[in-house]
Amino acid sequence: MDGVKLTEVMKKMKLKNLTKEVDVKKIVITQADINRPALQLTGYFEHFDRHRIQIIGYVEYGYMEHMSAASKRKHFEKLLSFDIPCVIFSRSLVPDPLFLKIATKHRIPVLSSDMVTSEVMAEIIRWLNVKLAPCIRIHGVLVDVYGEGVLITGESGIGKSEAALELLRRGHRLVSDDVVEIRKVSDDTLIGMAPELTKYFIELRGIGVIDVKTLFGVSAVRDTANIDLVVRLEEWDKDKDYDRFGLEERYTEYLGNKVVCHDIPIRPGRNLAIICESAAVNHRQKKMGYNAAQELYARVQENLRATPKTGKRKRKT
Amino acid sequence: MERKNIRIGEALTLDGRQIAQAVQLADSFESALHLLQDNARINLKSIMGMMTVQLKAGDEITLTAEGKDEKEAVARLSEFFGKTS
Repeated sequence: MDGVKLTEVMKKMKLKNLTKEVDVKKIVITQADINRPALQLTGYFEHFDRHRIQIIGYVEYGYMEHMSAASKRKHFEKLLSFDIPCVIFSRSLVPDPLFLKIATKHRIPVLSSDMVTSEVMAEIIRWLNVKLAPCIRIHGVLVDVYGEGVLITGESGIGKSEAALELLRRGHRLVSDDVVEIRKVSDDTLIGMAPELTKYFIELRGIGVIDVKTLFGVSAVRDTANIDLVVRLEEWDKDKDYDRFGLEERYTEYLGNKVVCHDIPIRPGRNLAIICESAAVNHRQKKMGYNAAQELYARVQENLRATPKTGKRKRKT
Repeated sequence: MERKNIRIGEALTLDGRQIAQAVQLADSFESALHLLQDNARINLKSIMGMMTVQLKAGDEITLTAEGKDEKEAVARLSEFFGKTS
């Protein structure tokens, strides 16, 4: 798994380095969780999460102040002899000089934050969760349509980029063409973005590469979008049954998360942009609590109940 | 499905222009074509996808093809990527 550089965390969280002699450039954080080493300061090291960022708040600090000189030496030495990524003192608490000395000896950076402990913890975890989220790259186009992130997938040359171009000419925003990086930030949220290298570019067969941002402006692009809906384009297959009612949602899976998926058959004369637009706005309406297919179904059922039966039904024998 | 491991030839610089050539060549086949490098799986017919991989001469890659003309596609593409002079 990729990690996040400690220097990035320090910049983001505005952390001050109290151990200037320790080189922080090579340290990489691989876990989004944090640990408060209260029990470790008492000498209990079983199940110690040494790969996590260690945060010392008011409670641990208070305990440290009451430790005897001998136990300070013993327990600081033990804690800092693990290869922990860093120790953060919250609330601008000033660490014991002995702690700094031992940390410097073991090349463990000691950092300081002026935030309250719970805030530092929450913010670090939230931010690292996004940064360390499992990530895949897929072939497709991501467009923000009426605020819904619509991922258009399908074989090369089926018209994904053309559909995207028409969508953004109709006022929607491009996130990425051809390659989409998907990050799983939680069990129900996937975020899509473009690789830095191909951001804002679209490739159109016969024309080549165009830069959407300079051509159509900032209002035509977006950096990231949630993936709310997948539209899978494919050649019309007369043997396949395409959804005609929409009563049951179909799903596809990315990184273990389920996303609503529509298989859209391509035939000359079908306007893909309008289909994508309608799919997006219909999805939004469903999220707001109205389902057109259910409504039609309810009406038909109602109609069946209301019609009086006339005579006996003929039955085939 | 066809699958072949190749080493990228010394004669290739794999700048944008050469990548475009490779994509164009891939596009001329009907089969679904992919390039595997480390953990990444890239669609060989996607120009943006191919631009995001950093290929250099000497790198090990795997080509996969699936479709009617898979054998020919792998043969022609490994010839392209394997060029040594």
